[in-house]
Amino acid sequence: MNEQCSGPIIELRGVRKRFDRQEVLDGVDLSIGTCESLVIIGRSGCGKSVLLKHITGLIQPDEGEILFHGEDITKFGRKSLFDMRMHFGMLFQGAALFDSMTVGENVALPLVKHSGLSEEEIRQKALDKLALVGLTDVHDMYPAELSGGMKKRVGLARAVVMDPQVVLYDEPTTGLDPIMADVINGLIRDLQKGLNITSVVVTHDIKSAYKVGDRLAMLHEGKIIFSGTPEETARTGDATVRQFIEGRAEGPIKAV
Amino acid sequence: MNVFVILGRFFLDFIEEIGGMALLFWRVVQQGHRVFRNARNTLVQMETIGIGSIPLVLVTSVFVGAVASVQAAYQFQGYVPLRFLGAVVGKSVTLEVGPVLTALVVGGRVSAAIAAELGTMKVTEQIDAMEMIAIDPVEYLVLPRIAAATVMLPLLTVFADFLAILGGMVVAKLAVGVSFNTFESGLRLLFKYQDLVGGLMKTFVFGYIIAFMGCYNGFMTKGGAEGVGVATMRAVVQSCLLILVSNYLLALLIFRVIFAPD
Repeated sequence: MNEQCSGPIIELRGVRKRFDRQEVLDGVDLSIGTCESLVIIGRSGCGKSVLLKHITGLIQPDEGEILFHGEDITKFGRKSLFDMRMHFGMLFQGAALFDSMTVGENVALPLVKHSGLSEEEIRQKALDKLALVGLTDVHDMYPAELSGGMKKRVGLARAVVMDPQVVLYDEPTTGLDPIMADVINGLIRDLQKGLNITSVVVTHDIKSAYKVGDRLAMLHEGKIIFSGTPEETARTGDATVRQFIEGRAEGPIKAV
Repeated sequence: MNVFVILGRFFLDFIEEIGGMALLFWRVVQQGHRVFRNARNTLVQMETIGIGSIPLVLVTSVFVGAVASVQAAYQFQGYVPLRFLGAVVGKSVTLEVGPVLTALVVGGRVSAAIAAELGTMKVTEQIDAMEMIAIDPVEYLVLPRIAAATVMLPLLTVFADFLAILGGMVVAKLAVGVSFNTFESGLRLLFKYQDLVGGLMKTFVFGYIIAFMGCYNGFMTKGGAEGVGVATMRAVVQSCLLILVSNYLLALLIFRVIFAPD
């Protein structure tokens, strides 16, 4: 760990959000350390993705503060929000590639819009990032021609093309075969270690959580009910967390 | 369920809808000056919206002009001399039939396409992805479509007016037996440039409505494939209704105020 990797980069304080009548986030407090890899686990539909979208200002909370480098982003206007997002990358659940553009154009788009680099430099950078995720020869293909795993890797290349400080992953391994899931997990780890990126991963895949996380936090009924290292998580006595990590239908969490 | 609950919910949904439209409208106004930043997108949209609609507009207007000619001749029987046929076809086409029918057929085609495209982008999180790479979806997706539709609809209408009159003229000769010369002199007899200009003025608004309703419903899409279907349907229904209602209001404004009869 070097010096820039100290202190929290993102902090959530008492974040609440309700949709219609459902309380999705019910006072979330969470601190994410610089250069840390934090995995948020929880059941499908418990609000993990909603939490992730709060961190980037895609969704505004009803109550509470979200701090990035100590500044409350819930008070940001569109311009500041866009400036902040330059430091963020996000890998979406379905990769969310723009299907009217080629793979190369997808990866290059943030650079084309914001970097001011020449066409040749942009092309080279896009190719570099694609190589980083192990893809060559796909530059001129369209997203529809790619497999699920390749789409995720292209999404990852696009997420890191601006060399962000933070990368957010929404269910990075869902829908992939176990081998490809491991490839993606390895990439998340490599990026975080190699480029000093803070990663926040949302998943219900407990195996991936152990593999990529420095720390695991469990979101349950709108609150963070547990947080600890993978070892602490494996040893915890908390019945709710145990039920989740062991994947049992019986326990404090009502399965149906 | 209580009838008041149903009515109340309906009312709230309605208010929410108007509010949503007003918000998008305001953002379009605020960022309107950035329309030239995405000139390439705008040109692409002009091609899909404008050039792509030509076959549809061509068939619609030729047959509408043809039927106008036949029906007018039928109603003239015994009352009005057939040399006025050209005048009636020309007036009705330039004032109402050309602008409104072009707007309705292009509206069906274009607002559905826009809503389905943006709706699919919304449900596959492509809109969120755009926000995440700090590109404003209003600037990048909405402005080019609105600009393209607002420019192309008047042009399509000029094309439609011309073809409808031509269709009416051909049918007048073939089915009714009115010569081209007679038809043309009838056309000239009562033609006023205000008719043409007034009709075209309306189409700028119609073009805006078509693209706006497509974009709005696309952005509001929820759920998956079904949601995209609902958004597409709503876009077509809302744009057609708004075209018809605004047509009346614009007719009042243009022909009662701007070109007021002396």
